[in-house]
Amino acid sequence: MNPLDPSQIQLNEEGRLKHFLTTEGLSKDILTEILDTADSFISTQERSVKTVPLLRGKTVVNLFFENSTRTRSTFELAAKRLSANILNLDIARSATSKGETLMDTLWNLESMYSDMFVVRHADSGAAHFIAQHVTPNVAVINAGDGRHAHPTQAMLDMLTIRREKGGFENLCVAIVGDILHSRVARSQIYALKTLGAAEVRVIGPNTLLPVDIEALGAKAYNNMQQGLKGVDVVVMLRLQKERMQNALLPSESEFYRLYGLNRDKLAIANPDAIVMHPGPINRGVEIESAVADGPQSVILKQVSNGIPMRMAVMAMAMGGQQRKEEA
Amino acid sequence: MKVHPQHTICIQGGHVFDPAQGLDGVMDIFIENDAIVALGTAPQGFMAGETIQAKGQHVFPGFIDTSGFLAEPGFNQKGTIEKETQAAARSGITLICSTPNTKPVVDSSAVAALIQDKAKQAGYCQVKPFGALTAGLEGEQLSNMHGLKEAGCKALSQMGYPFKDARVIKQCYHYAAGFDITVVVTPKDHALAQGGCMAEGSTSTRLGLAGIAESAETSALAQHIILAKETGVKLHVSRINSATALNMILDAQQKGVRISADVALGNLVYTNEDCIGYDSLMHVVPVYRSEQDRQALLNAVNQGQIGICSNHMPHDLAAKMAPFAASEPGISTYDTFAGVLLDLVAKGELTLEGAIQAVASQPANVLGIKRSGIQLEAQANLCIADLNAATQVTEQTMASGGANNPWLEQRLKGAVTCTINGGHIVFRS
Repeated sequence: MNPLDPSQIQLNEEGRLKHFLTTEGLSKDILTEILDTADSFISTQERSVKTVPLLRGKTVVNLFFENSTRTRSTFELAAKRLSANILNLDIARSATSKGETLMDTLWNLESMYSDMFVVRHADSGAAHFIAQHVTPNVAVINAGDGRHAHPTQAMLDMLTIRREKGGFENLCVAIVGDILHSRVARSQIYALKTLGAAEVRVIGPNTLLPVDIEALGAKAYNNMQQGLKGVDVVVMLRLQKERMQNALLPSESEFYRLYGLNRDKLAIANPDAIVMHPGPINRGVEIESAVADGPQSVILKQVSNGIPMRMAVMAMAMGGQQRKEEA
Repeated sequence: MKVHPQHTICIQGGHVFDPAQGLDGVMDIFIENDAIVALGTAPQGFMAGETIQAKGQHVFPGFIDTSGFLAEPGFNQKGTIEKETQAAARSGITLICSTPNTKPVVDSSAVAALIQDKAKQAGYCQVKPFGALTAGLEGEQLSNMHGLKEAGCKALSQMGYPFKDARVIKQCYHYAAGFDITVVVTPKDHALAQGGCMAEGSTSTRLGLAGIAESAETSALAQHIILAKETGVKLHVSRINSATALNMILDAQQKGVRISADVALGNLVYTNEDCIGYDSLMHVVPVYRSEQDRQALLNAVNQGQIGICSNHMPHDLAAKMAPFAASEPGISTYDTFAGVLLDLVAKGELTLEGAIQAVASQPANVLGIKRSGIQLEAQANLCIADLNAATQVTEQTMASGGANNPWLEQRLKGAVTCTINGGHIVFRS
């Protein structure tokens, strides 16, 4: 085993999850176990008492070097429903802006006997870096690193797809928009390929498709009409407004005309296709309101699945960290 | 009789190997004061003050490095001239052309003199700095090129720092050509390379790291070649990293452009795939490219077409303890330079002839050093190595101030046992 291999650093000696950094390289069994565990938590979320005692006495630190209200809140809620103590640190505005290095921040937090770091950082590989350098027995969950990975988002999307479609075999999934800057797309592609989806497509202009994206196992399309033919799941990605300024796109209106999901384009996909979006959505930029709120949209279901999915990976990673004498 | 016993050395029984001088066989070398006075048979009346037993070992010309960052002045937390030259001496390097990106930049004779003085005091290696091609390396104004040459700068370098525009490049070349000053650049189009920290390709896509396309380097190289041709300047392209760049340079040579090139040692060992795992030690400038590029560069070294430089860049621990893109680029190479080079020979990737030419006669030609290598009356700069011994350096035993050496703890086949600089033994294992 190469400890630096991004896909292997997440597993303990028994092959169980101890960090959750990327969907890449994880086996179908582990991804399925994550989905099954999340499924089991869905039922607890429908009860009036929603907490379970799996992480009682544990301290989870939300370490967000990039601002994110939504993702941070779902992790916070997930930790609370697992009975953990949770500390939210808004690093974007505190320590590192005073010149403290990432390592200094980490060592300080470790000195407070934390058990888990939920990390969001603007640099690709930041979660791997932290996982390599934290003291043993501290689990690291990647809540988004640069353009690299956002595995909990991808897995809650997988959970949504499985619940809507019953499985992944024979599924054709299209991911549309700004693939270049999207950590969600990369994590989705790996998860879908491993879970057995028949075909994964990425659709966008060349300037928003990463070089050699097909090497990851996705088929690239510039033409959305062609790309949507025979598709069962359409994943729309958020388009950041600043992309218009860096010579990546001509205009918002041209992007919407070519790649915005409206009813006409959705009609090209299979009739029972579902529409997904990791949020927050830009109505009229990448998706028409009538589609976002329409019968094929499962966008709000994705949001509800966020909490059980995060509970599942937190519980599993903490389990994988537990010392033998505790287990 | 002019022999001073305290200043004579005899290297006995070593396999003397210097392809540029056509030497490849067992013979004794006799040194008096700072010079080689005889090969094979001792001069009459020679009395060796010291005899170095080199049986079973190779004797090479001292290695010359055309790109080493010595951290001083300005970056003492990363290394010092004393530590870095000591590390270099352990690898058989006897001359370092240090890079001008110190603080202050080597754009005045005072800084050039300071560096040479400190190196002389330390006594491990000769150091001839590369002066800055533009004032402050800012790419806008010509530096005092002639003054820097007089202050000992072997060439003037802009490294990979940007030029304000093509006119500045042309004016630099035009001016330098008039004084036959060699110019050194590592071409890069900074707009095309913007934000990139590794080679662009499927690996950068997979890792989500911003990539640098080959065109960011080769389109800039094309411009430099055209301007070098027009101005007639002697241009050395330092640290090339792709087969495309190599072919462009060989093609320009064919067409009569005065152009030479070197490759950083690390680019002969690693490829972009070594960035998988986000090891910040793989964050380097210029970036590691594909296996095909690595093979093309190894082949060019074996063909005697390009030299090898260390691209030595020591860093303090904090500089590398960060996520990949946020870490500072570069590796500390001096402690293991010879080990890695000879290990490439042991693995059959480099020929011994190619390897030694690339670190001795190639750079000597670039720098215009007249009597170099193992020959009569040349300065006694020599490196004795045991090709079967192992180089194994640890954080505790390394001399460089930078712990950012990717070869620490590794067993590399081939080790320097003795380095002689200007007739003085500066390292002995």
